Amino acid sequence: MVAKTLKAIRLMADFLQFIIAGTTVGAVYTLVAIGFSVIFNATRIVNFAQGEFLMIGGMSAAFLLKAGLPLWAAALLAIAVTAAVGMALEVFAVRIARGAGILMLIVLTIGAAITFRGVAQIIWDRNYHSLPAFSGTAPLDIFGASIAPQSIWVIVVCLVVVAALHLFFTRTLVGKAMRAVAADRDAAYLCGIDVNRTMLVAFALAGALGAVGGVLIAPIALIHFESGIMLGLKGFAAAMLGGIGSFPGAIAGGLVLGLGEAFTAGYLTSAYKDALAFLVIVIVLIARPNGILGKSTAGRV
Amino acid sequence: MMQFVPARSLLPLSGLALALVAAPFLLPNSFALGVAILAILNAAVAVGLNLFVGSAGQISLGHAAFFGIGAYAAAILSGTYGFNGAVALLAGAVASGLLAHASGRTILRLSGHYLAMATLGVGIIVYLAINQEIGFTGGPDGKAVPPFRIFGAAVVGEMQWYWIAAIFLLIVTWMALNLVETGYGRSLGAIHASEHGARAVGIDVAAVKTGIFVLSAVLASVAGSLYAFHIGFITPSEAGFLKSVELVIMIVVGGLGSVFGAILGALLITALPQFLTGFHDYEQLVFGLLLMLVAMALRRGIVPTLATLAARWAR
Amino acid sequence: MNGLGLSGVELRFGGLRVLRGIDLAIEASGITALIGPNGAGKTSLVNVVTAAYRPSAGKVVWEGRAMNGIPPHHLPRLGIARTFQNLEIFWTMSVIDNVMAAAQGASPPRLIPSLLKAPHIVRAETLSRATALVALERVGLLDQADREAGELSYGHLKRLEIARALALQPRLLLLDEPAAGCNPNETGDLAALIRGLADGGLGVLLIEHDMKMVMSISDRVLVMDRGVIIADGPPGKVRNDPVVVAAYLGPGTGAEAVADPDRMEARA
Repeated sequence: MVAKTLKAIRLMADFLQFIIAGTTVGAVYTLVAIGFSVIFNATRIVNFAQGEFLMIGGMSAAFLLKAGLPLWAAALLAIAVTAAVGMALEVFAVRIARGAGILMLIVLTIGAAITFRGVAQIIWDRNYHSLPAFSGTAPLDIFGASIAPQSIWVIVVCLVVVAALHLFFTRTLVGKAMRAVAADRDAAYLCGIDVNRTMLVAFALAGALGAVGGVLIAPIALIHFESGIMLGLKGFAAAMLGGIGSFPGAIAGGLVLGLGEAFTAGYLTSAYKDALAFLVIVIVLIARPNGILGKSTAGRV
Repeated sequence: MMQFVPARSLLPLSGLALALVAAPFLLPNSFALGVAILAILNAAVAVGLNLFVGSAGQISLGHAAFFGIGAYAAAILSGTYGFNGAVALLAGAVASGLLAHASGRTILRLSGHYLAMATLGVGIIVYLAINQEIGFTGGPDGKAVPPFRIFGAAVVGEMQWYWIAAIFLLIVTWMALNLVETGYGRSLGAIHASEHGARAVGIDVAAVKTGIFVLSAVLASVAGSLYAFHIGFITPSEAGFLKSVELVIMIVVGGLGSVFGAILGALLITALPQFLTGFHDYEQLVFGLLLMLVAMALRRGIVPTLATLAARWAR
Repeated sequence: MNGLGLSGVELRFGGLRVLRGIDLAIEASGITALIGPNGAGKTSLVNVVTAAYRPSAGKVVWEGRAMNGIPPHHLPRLGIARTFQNLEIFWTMSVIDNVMAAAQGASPPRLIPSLLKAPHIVRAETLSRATALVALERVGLLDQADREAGELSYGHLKRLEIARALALQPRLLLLDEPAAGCNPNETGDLAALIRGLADGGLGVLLIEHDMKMVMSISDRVLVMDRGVIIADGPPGKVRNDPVVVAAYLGPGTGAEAVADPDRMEARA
């Protein structure tokens, strides 16, 4: 009887552990997915360099810290740097290639991703780097599951960012203008909205969002110049899962993906956790071509 | 009225044959010959992919999976199980064709970014499976491939492989030109332009899309097998996302929908990194910047842009 | 039975009954026009006939065969061709290639023989070129054959779609608002072309807003309103039908307001 109860408690603790792990990873995927959506809404471009924004954020924070800056300053400066990189990408590449076909734009952003990786290995190096956890590493115990303080940071910061973005898009003039562009680009242009500026803001935001993700996960996962590839693909998957362009979709997609991975790794096999994530996405796309929360008309022409 | 000439591709096809015959005598060393073999095999894949992407207007971000299936079919069936190389190659082609058919029937209903995501997903699943099934594939460490034997004699040496690859590319190019010049190619163009219109003129859109997807998968698979036998050692990266991206870049740079554009693009994108190794650490940076430049300056790719210029000049 | 028959055809989207039990027989000869105010269900009817939508109830019969559940790309094989209200041209292809894509429609080429350029593929190519040239000549676009479709004028694009449909060698041609967006000259030419096709023995089902065109060339006019057929007969009879007038001009207008084509058009 006691053994049975203990076993039940153990199972519950495992379950909770997977939920925490999945939510943490899911929060990072959500940040990447929102980055994809912000740019997609403003430009109809899928930015395959979104994962590189995480890498740039994480790497520059690590090197700024090494240069002697306090952690908070290194983090903030890294976010600013990455936002600037995003803006540079918009001004020097996306703006010039405007009107090109969807494949050309995919090539453009993949070219940007390769360029960023190339620059990263030159100005930094090819080694793995990390940041110290924001508030120590002593795990907290919740109902038998242990939770790293950094996990709480990831989840809380992600929530704050989502809330702040919501306010930005519903309360500020720039944010409203960006929503107008997302809804109908031509109409927005005719209403006198500066479409160029909304595109610039979108890339700055996406860069900053990526950097936040990079700085948050650097203490958990090591960062190096190729870290952005898989993170970018997973974030793209999360965005598509929820329906690209939709913020609630990005959150749902990120969480489904993160939790799915955590439970697959925990209960089935860690070897196939990545594969299962992509299998789920393929199946969801076939069954619901516009994502789990997507509208039934958009995107399928 | 232009007259209908069934063999209007005879001239460029002989030009390609001539270039392929001349190349080995012009290349400086066996290293360059090796790069040429790789470029030719990539070109065969790119020609097939360009029918699916350029002509039919679809997207595949996972085509390296079929290249990888061909390569690992060669390594596993011929290496682990001792089958004849030709049997291994055919088995890989059949497996790739079946996977393309099964996935094509369902995911080719999607379009745009959704299709990009779905093909990317299928490609990554294959890549991860190759990585994980260490017992069969050797996992991330890669796997050795025994030499290809014809009537008991091993095909070794760059020159022999060069001619095999060159003949393969010539056949693929001939078939692709046949296709784009006749009714099937017209169906591909019709689907690209308007699926409603295509249906209205009796084209079975789903079947044609699947057919061309299967064809491009089989070509990628055969090229993958030949590559594996030639190079003698393969790793999962042959099936990876970056290889898939590389293939798409080849056809976009060379020119979407252009058979010779695919060949030129494959040549450039295969050879470029060899030149860029001179830049050492700057290799990725230069490659990435060149890609961005192409996307900004040559939106339609090299061959169609040149063709338009030539036509304007001739006028 | 010859021709096209609809019996009890219903189409519902959620709670909305777009077609409410349509019974209809259309001969595969002469011009049958289908008119009606916006939202009457004309396009839905076309979509049901062309197998784009599956009817919620009832059935569509063509030349004695039930058409329920056939895929849209089988229609040309059954002898039905169509044009589109919003052009569905193959823009980047040449004019002749647009029509040749249709000329091969009844027996589309297969992949492997095409790759090898089998002799029958080459023969089919010659044949479909000939078929396409005939179709282009019938619509008066022969001199445009080698131009890219995207370069054509709007009126020519409308003709190109008709040529494409003719290359399928149909017994019934379904024209979805061919005159929409055309100027009066283009419309007049188009009307003459369509009348000529019908006189040549082709059955035409014409969905059209241009009342002058409908009244001048049709042998029979069907009027739809709110998902049902409200009038059916020769143009002269339908024109003066008080039910039709009411549908176009609103109830209470009275029969004295004879259906003036211009006014009906303005309403439609």
